[in-house]
Amino acid sequence: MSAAIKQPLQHPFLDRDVILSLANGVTETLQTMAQTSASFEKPFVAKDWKTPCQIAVFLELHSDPYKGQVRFHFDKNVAQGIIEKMLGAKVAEMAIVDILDGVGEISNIFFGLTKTKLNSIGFKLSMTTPFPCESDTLPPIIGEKTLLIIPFRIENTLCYVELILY
Amino acid sequence: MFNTNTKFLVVDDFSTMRKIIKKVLDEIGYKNVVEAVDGRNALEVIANSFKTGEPVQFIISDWNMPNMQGIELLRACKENPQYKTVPFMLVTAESEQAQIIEAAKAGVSEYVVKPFNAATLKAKIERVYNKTHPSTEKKVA
Repeated sequence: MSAAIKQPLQHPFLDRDVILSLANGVTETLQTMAQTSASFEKPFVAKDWKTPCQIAVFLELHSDPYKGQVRFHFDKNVAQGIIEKMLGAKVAEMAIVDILDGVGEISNIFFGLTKTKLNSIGFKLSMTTPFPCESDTLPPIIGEKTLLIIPFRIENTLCYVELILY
Repeated sequence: MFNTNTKFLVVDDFSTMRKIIKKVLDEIGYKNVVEAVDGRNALEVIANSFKTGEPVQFIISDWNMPNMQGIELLRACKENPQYKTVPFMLVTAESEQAQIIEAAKAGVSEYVVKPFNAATLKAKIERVYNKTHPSTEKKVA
């Protein structure tokens, strides 16, 4: 009689479907709302990572009993360009409050799409309202957490999805 | 075919989305647009518009908002004898079947899922408008 091999439990937010749904949510939203292409690059796991971007949006994820946080990191000029395309007009000097409002709405759509897709395949995922902020005011990550970083490129500039696993 | 003086109320907590919807309305020809930042604010705007004799005639609202959500605003409008016939379109990032059924039961006129492009939104607005304002249709040159 052979003993069953004990598999380590993997955090469900590392599931391929979660990552693909997030990526598809981003690409579909940007393409439809802003006629902008985003191309995803190879994700990597990190213990300590600092965003090089200036704008962020974060929200809490919950799929009982697992919790996590997702952060989107945008280059400020890229964010402004996306918002201008959504509005159909160039803005000479876009106020930071307008950039945050725009990325907040975009992220709201990313997550709505992601949630709908994941729940349709049985994830029972809930999430809080996305909160946009300047990156230097992001809440600190307490303790050692696993971070999954998924880079994506918009017009040759890197932006990131960061999944923080609790 | 529509009356360009129709008064629209656009409700969303994000100003970017209000601007996008206003731009689409403007492109169709609707210039008379007022805004609200959540359901509670929207009810105040609607009540005030009826008091002043220039009632809101079409509501386009987000679903997920602080203070009062779009579905609660829809229910409040349908329970009010003065507002219940005002066409109500919900715009939402979530498209789960249960939500769509909930909105339909509450009496929503149309349901638009984000992300959308301008052509889709225009087509849905015009469809609802023409369905609910058959006697006031006007051709725009």
